[in-house]
Amino acid sequence: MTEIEIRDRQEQLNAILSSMAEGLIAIDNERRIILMNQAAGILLRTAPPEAAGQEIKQILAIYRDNQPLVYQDLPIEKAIAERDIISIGLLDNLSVKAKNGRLFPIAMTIAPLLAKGEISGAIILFRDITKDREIDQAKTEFVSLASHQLKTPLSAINWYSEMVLEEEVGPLNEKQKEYLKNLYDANRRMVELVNSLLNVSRIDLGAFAVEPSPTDFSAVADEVLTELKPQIDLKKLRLDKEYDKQVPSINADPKLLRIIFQNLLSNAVKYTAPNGVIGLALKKEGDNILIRVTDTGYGIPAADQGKIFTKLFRADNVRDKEAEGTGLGLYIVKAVVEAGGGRIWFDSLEGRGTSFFITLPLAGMKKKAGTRGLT
Amino acid sequence: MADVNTLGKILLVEDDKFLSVALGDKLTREGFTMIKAVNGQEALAKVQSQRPDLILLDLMMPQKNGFEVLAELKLDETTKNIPIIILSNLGQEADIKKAKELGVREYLVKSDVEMKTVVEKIKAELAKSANGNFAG
Repeated sequence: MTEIEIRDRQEQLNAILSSMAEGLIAIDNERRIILMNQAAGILLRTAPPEAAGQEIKQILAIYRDNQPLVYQDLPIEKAIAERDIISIGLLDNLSVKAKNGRLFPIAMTIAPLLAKGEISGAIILFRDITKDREIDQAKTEFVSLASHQLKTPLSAINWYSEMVLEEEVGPLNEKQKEYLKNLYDANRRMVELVNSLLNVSRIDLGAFAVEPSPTDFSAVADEVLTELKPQIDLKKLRLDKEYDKQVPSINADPKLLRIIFQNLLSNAVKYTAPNGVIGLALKKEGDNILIRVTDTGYGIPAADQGKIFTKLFRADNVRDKEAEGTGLGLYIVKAVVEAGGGRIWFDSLEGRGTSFFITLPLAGMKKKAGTRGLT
Repeated sequence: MADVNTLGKILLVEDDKFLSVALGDKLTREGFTMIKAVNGQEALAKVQSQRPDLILLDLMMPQKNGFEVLAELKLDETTKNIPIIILSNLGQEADIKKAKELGVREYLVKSDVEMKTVVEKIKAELAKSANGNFAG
């Protein structure tokens, strides 16, 4: 390349950098700024020449919940230490304070700057996500509002049918009782469906809270089994419980754990013919707690086994037998198990039954902040 | 308890007419004296004029929501010890936490709770507050 060609190339690169909509900053190993583009200058209210040579933390002050991030939490340090690209998005809840004091939410990508195989600094690409955050907020509000609006009439149907069923306002004949019971049960299903849909929307939004506290798995499981007892008795199912004494209480979110037990156990009850057997085992296995839910039910057809954790999927063989069911339960369970750092898998043979296995680490679930809990 | 002829005087704060009638009828049949309010503003006025033994409080309401009502009741020496049960369809962890921080002991989600449970919880709270008063 001739000198002129090099200069043209240089000018072209400068034009690209200064025309970019995202802020771009490159730093060296001493965390000093070697390059900053115009967009970064505008976002941070600092002229690029003024920033050159300054320490990155002086120019790009990163905050979480209005508190400056401590050194070891800085994504820049992580990217360099782990030699990995770090992406910070809406859900990470990070902000940057510009020179004029304005704090704005950011999305950023930090990549280690590699030259000849050695790390010589990092490249930071960032943008203002105030708009994204407003949209996210609107979504959250919609979910909350929709939940409230849908549930109010459902609560009214619940309560009135409960009072009439209890014969508080006069006796009922058998047929009236039966019909009203159907009305009441259908409405309960509607409440569950609304709850499931809300949970799915929170999962799809990518943020539900995990709030671990010391939790006794067997207590949560027994609570769910007590609720299911009427259905278990009605179908004359045998329940085999096998709780290993060694299972300690671990840090887990009891609400999430409840969702796991509730879905798997109610599925086992629902999809097992009368006089069948359902089983629940809790064991300590290595560094995990193993939950095993078995049934002698209809089983999952081999052709459907790859799809059962897909949202809204229901296997053909149960669709005919059980009208109830939303196709949301296992999708929710899988998301919850994975958020808790665990694994889920199953064995099933059509016509013989199904076993679900879940492991959750003894070390406990990791706390995750989120504006939306699951219910 | 103020009223010797009934199990207690309950202020029901609920803006939905159907739910208000359901709860009002049920609790009257159970032997409680009912007072009703349809928004936060009216609730605060009725607490002052009627001195209920317990408040069943909705959260999403016009003219002062339940959280605002809670905060005001807790600031007033004469009302801060009235037991409050939240009966709302807001069931998010954050809402429950916020209410508990404001001194609420019972938080029930309407669509998930049977009426008989509401009655049991009211009786339990009234028993607790009666014991508390005697002990104090």
